[in-house]
Amino acid sequence: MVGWSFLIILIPLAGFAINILGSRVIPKWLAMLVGVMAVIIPFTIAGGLFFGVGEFLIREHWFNWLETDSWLLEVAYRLDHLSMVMLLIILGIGGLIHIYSVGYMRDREDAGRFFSYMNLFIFFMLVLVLGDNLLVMFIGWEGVGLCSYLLIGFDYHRKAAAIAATKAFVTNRIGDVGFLIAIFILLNNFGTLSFTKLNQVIPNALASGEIGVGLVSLICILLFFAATGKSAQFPLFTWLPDAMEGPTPVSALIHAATMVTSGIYLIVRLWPIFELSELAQSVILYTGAFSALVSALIATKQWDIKKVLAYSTISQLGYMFMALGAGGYGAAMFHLTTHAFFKALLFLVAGSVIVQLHHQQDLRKMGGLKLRLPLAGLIFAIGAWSISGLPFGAGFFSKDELLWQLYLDRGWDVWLLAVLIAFLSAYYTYRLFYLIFYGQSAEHSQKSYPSLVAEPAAMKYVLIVLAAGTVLVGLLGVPHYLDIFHVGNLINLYLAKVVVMPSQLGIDQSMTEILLMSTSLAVAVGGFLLARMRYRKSLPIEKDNGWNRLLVGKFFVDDIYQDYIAKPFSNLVKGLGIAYFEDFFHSAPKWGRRFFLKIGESIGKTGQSGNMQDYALAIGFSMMIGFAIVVILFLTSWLY
Amino acid sequence: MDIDFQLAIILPELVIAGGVIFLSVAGLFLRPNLRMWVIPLLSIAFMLVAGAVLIIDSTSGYGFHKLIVKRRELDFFKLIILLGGVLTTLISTRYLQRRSINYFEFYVMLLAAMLGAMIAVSTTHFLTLLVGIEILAITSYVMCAIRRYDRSSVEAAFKYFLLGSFSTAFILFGIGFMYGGTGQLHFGVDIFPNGQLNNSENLFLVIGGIMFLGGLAFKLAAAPFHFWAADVYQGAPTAVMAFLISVPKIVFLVIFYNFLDSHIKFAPWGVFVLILANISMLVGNAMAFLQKDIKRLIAFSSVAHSGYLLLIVIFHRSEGMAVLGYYLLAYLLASFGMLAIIIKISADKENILLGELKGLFASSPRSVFLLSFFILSLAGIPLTAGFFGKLFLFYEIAPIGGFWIGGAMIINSIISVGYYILLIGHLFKRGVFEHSVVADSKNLEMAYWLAFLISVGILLWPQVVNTFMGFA
Repeated sequence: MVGWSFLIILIPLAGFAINILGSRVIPKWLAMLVGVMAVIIPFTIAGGLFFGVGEFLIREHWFNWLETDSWLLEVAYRLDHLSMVMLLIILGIGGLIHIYSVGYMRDREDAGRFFSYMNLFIFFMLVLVLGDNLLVMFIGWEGVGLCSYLLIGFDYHRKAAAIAATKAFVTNRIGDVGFLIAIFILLNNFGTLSFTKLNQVIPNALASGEIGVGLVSLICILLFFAATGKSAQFPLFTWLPDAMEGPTPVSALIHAATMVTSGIYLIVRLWPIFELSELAQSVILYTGAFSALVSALIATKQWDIKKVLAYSTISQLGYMFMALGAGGYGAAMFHLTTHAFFKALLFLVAGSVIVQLHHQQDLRKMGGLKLRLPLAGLIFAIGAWSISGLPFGAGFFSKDELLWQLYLDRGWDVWLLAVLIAFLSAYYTYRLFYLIFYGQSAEHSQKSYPSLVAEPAAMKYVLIVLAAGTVLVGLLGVPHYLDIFHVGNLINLYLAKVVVMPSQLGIDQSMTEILLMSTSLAVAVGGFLLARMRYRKSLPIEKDNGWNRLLVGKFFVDDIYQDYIAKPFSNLVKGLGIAYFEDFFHSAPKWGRRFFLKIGESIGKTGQSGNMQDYALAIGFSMMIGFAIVVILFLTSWLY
Repeated sequence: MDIDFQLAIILPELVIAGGVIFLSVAGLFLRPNLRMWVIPLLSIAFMLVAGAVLIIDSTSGYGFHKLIVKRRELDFFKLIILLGGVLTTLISTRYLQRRSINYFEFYVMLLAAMLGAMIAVSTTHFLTLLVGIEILAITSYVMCAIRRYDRSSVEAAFKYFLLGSFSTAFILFGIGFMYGGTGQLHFGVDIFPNGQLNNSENLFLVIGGIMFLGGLAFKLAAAPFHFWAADVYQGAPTAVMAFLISVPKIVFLVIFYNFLDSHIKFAPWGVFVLILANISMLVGNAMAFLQKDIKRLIAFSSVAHSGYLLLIVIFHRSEGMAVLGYYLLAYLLASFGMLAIIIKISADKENILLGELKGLFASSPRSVFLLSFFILSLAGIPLTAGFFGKLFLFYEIAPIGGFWIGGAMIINSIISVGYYILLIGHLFKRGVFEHSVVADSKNLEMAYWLAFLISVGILLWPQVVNTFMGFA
């Protein structure tokens, strides 16, 4: 059956097709209109589905792609509560960012190409979240990787952009190997890739002892490895900061709100399997924690406005993975939602600041812009308030629930680690805020930027709408001690139809919860105050000690990969004399070709003469050989 | 069995036969400038009607004292034969005009060839089979000679005619021997009394079968009966070549399949065909490396394809027909697409050498894109329909044929990639493309885009053949 999923998925694809095929014919305004409508229309359909259907699971089977005796690959889509949440985020925030891009790209000649790639990205992202099995999801997974590559390298004539695009693509490919191997293992052992079936079959098989827990752990860790690629976690996180070479709307949409969260989505989708393996859960938790801590530390020393936000994204994603490791699927999805809002908002504000300052991204050349960019300042303040987890911002609610989940599942130590990261995130966010809007005097900024570029209206209104959304989105998950009107935790209630919500909160624990909440709040305020103290007046002098060097050098992860993986490998290749093998592989095809040429020539000389008599003779002769074979076989079988 | 049902069974053939008669008469009465487009149009219309009948009518059974058989599997092959006919008509119109050989009889001959092909496919009786084969063969000879003032075309047609008659003689002799051995002219699985054909002590039968299979192998251009192929294809008009390397291949493989279906265990025939298959793969691929002329290269690659396809005739399970059908469909589309593009880029010349392809990318990038797509499909590179064809083929033969048979197929396809890639390499060479490109033929464009779209369609939905044949 083909229905809603068909419409929702194919409209962005149609937008892509129109813009890419008609890139030379379609005027810019029409290309932009098509690009925006290709996201807005599916969004209205999705909204209608959200409100129109209550208890729903729409499963649509398009066709069987391949079937053999032992397995079946279908192209099928499912729309349930979990994919609905993702769908609304992708299309809602995606739609806003498309509108924002109308302003951002207004002076660019190749806006049509930009919008076609963006629509293609939306298409693949929808395939990813709506796919009913791992194969369809993998198609989307690869597709968003491709679009990410295309969009990071959108200004392909700039070398840095081209290199960053390649880096993102290659790093993601490394993760994809994990995904593929997991798919092979699953197909080989269970003969299906459908989420519904896998989520039933694997727990059953484990319970009945058909498979060991080791296999489940292996599958989970392979899938998580794929997720570390796409969601930029250790060890594959190095591509995300470089990806900031792309246009800012791309960073907001792909590298903050949607694509990088697909790793989280993958794990939530398959939660019954991840639940089975203690080992995999611990790996996820500690990898997430490590990534979050490291990237938060790096973010405190960055001078590029977008790179700070990129490291912050890694850090927040690490947070979500920590929640997943602790079984807090609802908490992770809630944080994903709020993060999509406030991080997109921060990126878009940053983009607005960058545009108005004549494409200046260096924080040291900003400062004192409070009065000159009042709207940006206000909106940035809203975003910063939310991400830092200060009271009643969106991040406050989601981070609080997340921390509570960590405490319940893992106890004090992990909780303390998470609180430390919360401190750092408040610190680097407000550092960013004060560096942009305070720090220098207003006169100084007047001197460096005598004129500002006017901000297009499309960008301004999107910022306002998104800021309002950021303020409100936290209300989706109000904790029960603040729940005066007894609406409940809406997002958890909504997702509970698909995902288990562990550990119901008892009333007697709410005192503990308030205590923990107060502590984390105090820590966040501490981070805020520290940043205010250090950066409000002027740039502090950075001490040149080992610790600072480590942070500024981004923990030297890139250099470690370069020096200890890439270089030894190429040395190994050289040392082993594989250069000779290379010669061999270069020349082997030549020899092969020569060999077959020889065969061909010898046949050609004897047989392919062009004379019909020869041909007839060859036919007769072949026929005789056929007779001979038959007679030999005949006689031998007759003799005994 | 009532006569209505019997007529219904051959309704598609009747439509085509009616078309042949109607067009051959109508062509005489139409003004020349009118019939230039009316006849091809009507001919396509007849083929489409026959195709529609084939799709709609899903009955199966025997008719005319079991001279004719209708099965869903065979319907599919008739359908792709008709697709081949439609594509041939599309690529021929402007081609014939440009070379001022625009005889309307060409389309009548083509339609008659369709008729022969469809009859030959839908029978398991030697006499009906012979009628079908001969209709197909004689019309092919005429179509080969359509450029009758061109020496190479006439030479090709003459070679084809003489050697074809030679092989028909073998087929006839073989049928005679088998009849002498068994007193039967039926060869179908379900008609033939069990075991009678499997009598390996009957030397008449065995020898007759070998002669029959050898004659068929000639028609199929399987080595070592393939020598005529390159010469004939090279000399024949390119549009006719597209027809010759695909439609007869479908017909004769189905005959092979039908004939050997119940007799796989019958060792001498199986061994004979297996040897043919292996020699075809090896010789076809080796000779293709040697070629400088693109049409000859395709000719030898078609010999190699005969080899792969003979493997499935020998080693298959109950759904082997679906695999054969998918492979043949992918092969037909790739061949037609390729030759349509070659017609497009050789407006002023019949034969293009590989070296003359240089600079094509600069002058006509779309042609290069499509040509590369079709070449990759023939080579069986992933993300083309040809890849799925080879994959299904391998899945089908490897479990039964075992390591060596599967391995032989894989190794030969790897070898073949060598010259396909070389060919693609020539397309991208820098230089100035010296030939003129046909730019004004909508029909030609329609043909290769149709081939491209169907290729992509069956790539996205590989189960279509199984579904049509009712296996899925």
